Amino acid sequence: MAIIEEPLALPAGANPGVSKPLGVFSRPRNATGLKNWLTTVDHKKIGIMYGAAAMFFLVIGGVAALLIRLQLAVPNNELLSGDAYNRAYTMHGTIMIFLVVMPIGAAFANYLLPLQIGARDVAFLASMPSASGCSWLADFAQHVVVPWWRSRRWLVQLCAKQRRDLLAEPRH
Amino acid sequence: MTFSPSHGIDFWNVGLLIAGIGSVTGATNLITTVLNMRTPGMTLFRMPIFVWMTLVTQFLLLFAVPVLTVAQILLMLDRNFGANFFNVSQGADPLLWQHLFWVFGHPEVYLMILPAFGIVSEIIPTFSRKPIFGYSFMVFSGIAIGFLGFGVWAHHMFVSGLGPLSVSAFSFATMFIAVPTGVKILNWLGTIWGGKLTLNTAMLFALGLVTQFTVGGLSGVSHAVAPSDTQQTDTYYIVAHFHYVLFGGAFFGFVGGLYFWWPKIFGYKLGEKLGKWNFWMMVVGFNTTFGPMHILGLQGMPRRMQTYDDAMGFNTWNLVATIGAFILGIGTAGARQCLFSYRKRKVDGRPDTALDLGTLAQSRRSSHRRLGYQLRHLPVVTDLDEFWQHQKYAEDETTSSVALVTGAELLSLATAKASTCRHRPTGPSSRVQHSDHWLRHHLQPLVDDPRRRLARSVGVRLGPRASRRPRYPHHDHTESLTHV
Repeated sequence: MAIIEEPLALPAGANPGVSKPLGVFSRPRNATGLKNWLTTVDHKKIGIMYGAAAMFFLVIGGVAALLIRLQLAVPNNELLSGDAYNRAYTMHGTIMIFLVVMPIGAAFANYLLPLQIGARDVAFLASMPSASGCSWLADFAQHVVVPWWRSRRWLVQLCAKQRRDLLAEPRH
Repeated sequence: MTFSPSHGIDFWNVGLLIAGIGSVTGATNLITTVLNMRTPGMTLFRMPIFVWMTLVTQFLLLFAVPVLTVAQILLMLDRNFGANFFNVSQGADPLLWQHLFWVFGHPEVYLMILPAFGIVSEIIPTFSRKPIFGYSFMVFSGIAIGFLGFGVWAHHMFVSGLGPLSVSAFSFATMFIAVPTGVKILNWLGTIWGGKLTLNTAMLFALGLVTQFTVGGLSGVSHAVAPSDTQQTDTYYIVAHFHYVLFGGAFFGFVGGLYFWWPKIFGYKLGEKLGKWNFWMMVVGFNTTFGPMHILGLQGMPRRMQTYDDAMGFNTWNLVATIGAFILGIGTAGARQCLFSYRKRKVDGRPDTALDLGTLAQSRRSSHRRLGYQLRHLPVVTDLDEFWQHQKYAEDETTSSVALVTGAELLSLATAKASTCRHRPTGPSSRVQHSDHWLRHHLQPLVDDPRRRLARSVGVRLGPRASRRPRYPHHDHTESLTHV
């Protein structure tokens, strides 16, 4: 057990010096900038990022919903193929539940919960840096990977179908 | 692999796995925060309802999401590594996936709606200018929903051949879970009852949740009855039901929370005029979209089918639903005013005290723009609705609480002097704040009311909580009143 002999507090006016023993994993010191947003451990910023991601995916999920409704507007509609319709409603459901409603709940929880109980921040901050940051990044990885992949395939197939249709049946 | 040979499903699977890990991590973090890091005096039963509902939600996440993770790992082993967990031709149980999914899936719907319940339980008291009606009932009904939510999953599977015993058991449990949910709706109505309502956008969204969730809840009870569920399963009736619960319920609550806490978070208010347009278009669009789906479902239109025939008689209501969906889409886009209104109405970084939030959060300055710990002194909480209590009760030297004004007096005062509300305490809260100059300046005349002084001299207390016992029993309460 080490015995600390020197005083813990620096004398007034002394420069503590800049030491970053953890490198890029050290606590960010500036309050703005992209790096700070990405590496933040501030529960409020994490809450805001959850909210922003939810708002973004609300658009995508909403467009999927409108596609479904367009397809169902009139009987025997051929706007979406059966396969494309399957994709549209699957992604509508998945996006709305996992990428909109759950993140927006997490946004309110992360931002407000520590404030409402008078805590300084969420629990795992010093011992487990940016636990909620990790979970946000994990969410975001899913946000990017899943819809991008699905929508890309769907778009390619839709374009191919349109092209086939146009080639097969020349308009009179 | 036979039905969906592409790798899309694999990506979907891995993505959900990662999200599951994120959810469980976040849940652990928030549970620990609530259980360990409350400020002195903030007992569990002085926490705001929103914190309670979030706590229940995090427990649901912690226990429900791993089930989905297990199911997805099994699915991944099946699809990519040749296992046969779900391969019926190799002797797998055809119901295994359904069971695993719904053991997760039903707590999931409660963990989506409970935070919205919490938000609404903050909005409604604030804009009714009354404390929440039946605080402990609200808390315990939330906990009850959390527990019962794990015992009702098979009501999604009534037609999959579970056998009569399981069906009746789950049918019973499902009807049972409607009770705590009904308790919540009753308590919101009790809070609104006799309150002085401010119908701003946040409050409108909260009331929208209460009404539309009630519709969704009632159609939910009609699913709990197994014979009628057999008719309704996989029809648009189900689609109507869960959109009324999740969109008309949860999402309306979240948008209300956005309007409610926006000034707290970003320091300026969202536009009320656009907000009302946003609300009414969403209500009209929502009900036009999903209301007709009840009818379509009862007419027998199956869900998950990409089209229907002209002769089936579904045309009219489908067209109506589509028109409604576009109204709803435009209405929801109204919520995006938060994007383009940025910095437009920015006033200052202080919390908007005109909002009159009852909870501790509002008495604290906070901004994500300043990193680190804004809170130099931990506040000491002595009561539920701490911030309101500061205005109604003061403590004398013996730390017994004495009523300054009644709720009715405070209400008339607050409406008369709404413009002076900005002088209320905004700094780090502590119990010294009772001597705040706002109280002295505006409330002292009421304390010196001769009617009250007379009542006090004969030992009668005026006020809504006259029977309130002293917090420190060794002080005689009547004696402490003479200090005022």
